[in-house]
Amino acid sequence: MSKKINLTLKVWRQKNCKTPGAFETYQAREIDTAMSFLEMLDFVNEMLTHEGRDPITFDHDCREGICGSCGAVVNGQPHGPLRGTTLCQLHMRHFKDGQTLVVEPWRAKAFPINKDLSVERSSFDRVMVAGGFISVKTGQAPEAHAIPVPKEAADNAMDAAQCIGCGACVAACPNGSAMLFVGSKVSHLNLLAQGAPEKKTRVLHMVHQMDHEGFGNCSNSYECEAACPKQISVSHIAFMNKEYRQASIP
Amino acid sequence: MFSNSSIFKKQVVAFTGLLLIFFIFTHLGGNLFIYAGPGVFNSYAHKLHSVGPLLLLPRTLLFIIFVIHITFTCLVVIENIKARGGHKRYSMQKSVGNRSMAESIMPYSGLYIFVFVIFHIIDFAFANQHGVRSFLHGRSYGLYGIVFNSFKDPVYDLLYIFFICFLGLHLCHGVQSLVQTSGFRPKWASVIKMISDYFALLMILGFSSIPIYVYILSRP
Amino acid sequence: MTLDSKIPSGLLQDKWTSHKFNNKLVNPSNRRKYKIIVVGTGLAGASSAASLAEMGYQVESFCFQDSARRAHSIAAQGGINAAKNYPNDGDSVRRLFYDTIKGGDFRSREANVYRLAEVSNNIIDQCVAQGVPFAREYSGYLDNRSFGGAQVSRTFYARGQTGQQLLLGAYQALMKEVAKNNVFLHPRTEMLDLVVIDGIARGIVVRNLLSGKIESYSADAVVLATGGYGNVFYLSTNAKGCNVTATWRAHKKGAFFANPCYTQIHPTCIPLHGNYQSKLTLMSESLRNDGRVWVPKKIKDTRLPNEIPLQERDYFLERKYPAFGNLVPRDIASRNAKEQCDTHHGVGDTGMAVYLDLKESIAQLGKQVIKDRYGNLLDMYAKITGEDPYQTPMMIYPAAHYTMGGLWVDYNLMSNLPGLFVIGEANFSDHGANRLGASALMQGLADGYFVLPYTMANYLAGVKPAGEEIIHRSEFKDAEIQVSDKIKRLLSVKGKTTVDEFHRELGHLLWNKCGMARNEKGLKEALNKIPEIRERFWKDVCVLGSNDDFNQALERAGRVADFLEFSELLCFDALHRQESCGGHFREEFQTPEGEALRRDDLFSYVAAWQFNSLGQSPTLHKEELKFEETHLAQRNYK
Repeated sequence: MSKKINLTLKVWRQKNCKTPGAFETYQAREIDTAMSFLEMLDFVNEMLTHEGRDPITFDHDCREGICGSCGAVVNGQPHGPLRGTTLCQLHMRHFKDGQTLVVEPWRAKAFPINKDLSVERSSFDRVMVAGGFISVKTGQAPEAHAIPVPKEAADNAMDAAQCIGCGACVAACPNGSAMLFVGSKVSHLNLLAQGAPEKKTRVLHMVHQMDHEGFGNCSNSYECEAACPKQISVSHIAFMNKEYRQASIP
Repeated sequence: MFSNSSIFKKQVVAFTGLLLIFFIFTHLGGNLFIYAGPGVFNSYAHKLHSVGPLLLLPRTLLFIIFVIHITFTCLVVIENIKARGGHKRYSMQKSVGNRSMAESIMPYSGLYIFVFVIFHIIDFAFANQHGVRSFLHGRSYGLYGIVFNSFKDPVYDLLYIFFICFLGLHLCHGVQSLVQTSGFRPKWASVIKMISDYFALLMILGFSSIPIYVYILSRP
Repeated sequence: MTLDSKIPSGLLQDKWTSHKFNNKLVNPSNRRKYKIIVVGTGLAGASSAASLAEMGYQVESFCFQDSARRAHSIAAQGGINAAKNYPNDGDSVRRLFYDTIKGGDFRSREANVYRLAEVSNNIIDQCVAQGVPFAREYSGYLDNRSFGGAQVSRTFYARGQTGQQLLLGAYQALMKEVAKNNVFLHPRTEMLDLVVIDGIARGIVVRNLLSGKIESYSADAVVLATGGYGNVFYLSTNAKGCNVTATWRAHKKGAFFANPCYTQIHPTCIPLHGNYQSKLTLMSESLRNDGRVWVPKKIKDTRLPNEIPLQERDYFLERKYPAFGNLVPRDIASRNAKEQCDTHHGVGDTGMAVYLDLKESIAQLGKQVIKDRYGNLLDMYAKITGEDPYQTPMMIYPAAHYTMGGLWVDYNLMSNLPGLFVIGEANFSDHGANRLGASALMQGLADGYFVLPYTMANYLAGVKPAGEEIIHRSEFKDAEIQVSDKIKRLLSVKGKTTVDEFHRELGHLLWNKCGMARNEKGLKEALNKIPEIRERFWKDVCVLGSNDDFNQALERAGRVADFLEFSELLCFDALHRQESCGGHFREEFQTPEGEALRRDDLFSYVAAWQFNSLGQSPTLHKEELKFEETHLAQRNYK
């Protein structure tokens, strides 16, 4: 059963990527524990709007943990303290009455801040443009059963393909590295027979673009795996390393 | 185009790391001759030196590997600092749960090892084999004597063991990390992590046993 | 004016083939000269943009999200239908066609639906080739499951994330074309008006959501793939950003809006738990394959579900529909749940929920099998409600989910405005009055991959490339000024009520008066009330900040302003349709057993509405539906 709690919020407010930001403190009173974290922010925004103060900007859309729009660092942890959960699926019952929550945007060089908690993640799209696809045109596809895919490979590919592109891995990584994001896409496509013809260029080009965007290097701290709302395994990073090694040796 | 990539650099660090691990392993093997007494130990040292100019090749190689390992690590670390976006990144920095102490201090343990290795080389490798430091009970015992004399000092021993512990920490992340970075059998991750930890422990025990042994032996 | 659906002549099964042959083509070397705007990057938008770009056209792709990968198609859970008949259980193109027509309560076009069933198989081929990791059997071949309302296993799935995987497939196809500079992406850009010159769609006016800059883009054809209007109910399973703005503003520029009253209420959603709630979460109805729906027989029973003995439970779907049981179509399942709650058999804190019980399936198949099938759904349920669905029965309640209505299009997916194409959920075409489970993904991709690319060529072959100069026509400037003025007005009200408060009020009104069950009195009340809310909105809405900034309240305000206009048309259509069919249930028209009563003699037509002006009734254009191959039957799932 839900109950009401009071919270102190320290929220990062920043007008845009050019102006410096700072924390502002808000009192969030009478928060129902059945609310999601974003509903709590909505609630605070309603309060701010009534007071004539600028509401907090944060990206969100589906609110069921799949679109990958939302995300903020809550008390030092991307998407908050609950493992395998996006911010929109994190409910307030996981917080205590009287608790102070520090809410910050993802921070990484490759994710400039748009406003408040919203960051620009188009670097991810550009990594995808570099090779995150199988070059089959509409109409070229053979009959679906023409190439059987072993269940194990299909399941592994699916594990990797679950990535929602939220960027929590980058936010959690002490080096701002996007290896889990890139690794899971390389894994997804390179594990399937359909992705095999382009597997070498795919990994080379995606890694090249990843570096170009200014993401850091993996130091195998595995913080990304712990922060990933889909709990994608770092074994996909190892897989990418292997694919990269094999692809770069002519 | 690709040779400058993040993964390439890391794989270089991993590969050179692997070679350095081999070196450390053989180095420990050599050191353990000390338990066989001054004769065997010195003749091992002597044999090593007697190859003369031929020794220069592995030494130079080792030196190059060491330099590459450090250079590429520096490149990676500099990039990582840039990528992080700000020195003090989050006002509340907290591990999400997977980060180990060994991983978080990797560059520092590496730096400490670097400083110590230089000292170590000057201290032992370049020392006058028959100088004052090699004298025990009034006669020269060669390298054995130098080692014995150095490890008699408890402060020296503590510093040495402290260094070895750092080396162990460096290795316990390094070994499993190099397997991950080179992309070797992802499914064996947990086994490799275990091997990594035990290997590091073995190195710590192996290297640390010598000063302790000498210290105990030197007690009246 | 009469509506020409342009349905080709000939036998049903030959229509599409002969139409494709009869279509005009654009020479490959000329294709580059044509520019096409695609608004929306969901399944339909991304797949069409990618396919058109592959053919050689210049494509400009717009979405309001920060990335094309985030469109709400991503949230579809259950699966995608195709008539592959891999399980060898009697499926065929014809059966899929028939099921879809019947499921749509005979309010869709035969020719469109047949085409949909026909190309369904190509979609699976295409997606597999793109690397969509569909579930497979140990043999390495694709696995199928049965899905709401179907008696054959024709649904392909990728765990509980089929929509995500299909969307990523389409998104990746789009990225592939971006890499070749065939598609230019405009993320965080919202379409705010359609530009029509001499009766032909020539471009759009957009607002950059980060900078607030208003810009125009011209093209030879505009494709709207902007999804449905389910958020008119405020609480729905749609993403927060889903809106009617693009289609509504196109409607105001002359495009007809067809059958807006066909709204689908999904039976298996997590129930409402408070006023602050921002959305309802859908649980895939595939759960109904293994779950049994029940309520306590006793009125207002407050016992815990596990304390209620079997004989005191009412498995109402199984009781009323023995043949289909828990797998009856969505509208029937939803209405029955509502009926149980209205008669005080509902459960939970609010009494607005029914149980969906997996207990017997767990006992029969083992927890692991259930976990493999629905693991992520059940985890999501546990996360939201804090209850363990493996232990206690889940609570579900219907929620607004999908809208079958949309802009009117002909067989070529072109609206009554030449050059304006509408695909996916945004059009009205294929689902009639009710959509079957796992058919939305099928329709979105069918339109985008396999229909629009052909029909687009046919249209473009008949027009000259517009060229860059057209952007200097005054119509663009006028539209920009209109858009800017509207934004200025929103910002200048400086009232006391927030945008969400208005949206909530409107949603509440519509859910009660124009939701699962409608009646004349309620609809008339709503029609009186909506202009009143709208008037209040423009006097008292509070939108802070400025236009030249990232201003989310302003974005929402524009969308809610459109909902406040659109909802009137929705109620108007619902009032005019004096029959019950599919997602539109009029209480006055039901069988003695309480089932939807269609009136085929009077309402077997598509109601396409023409916008006149606000406050004035829209003009109705009828497109008669002819059923040549199917026998009009009262749906019977008993």
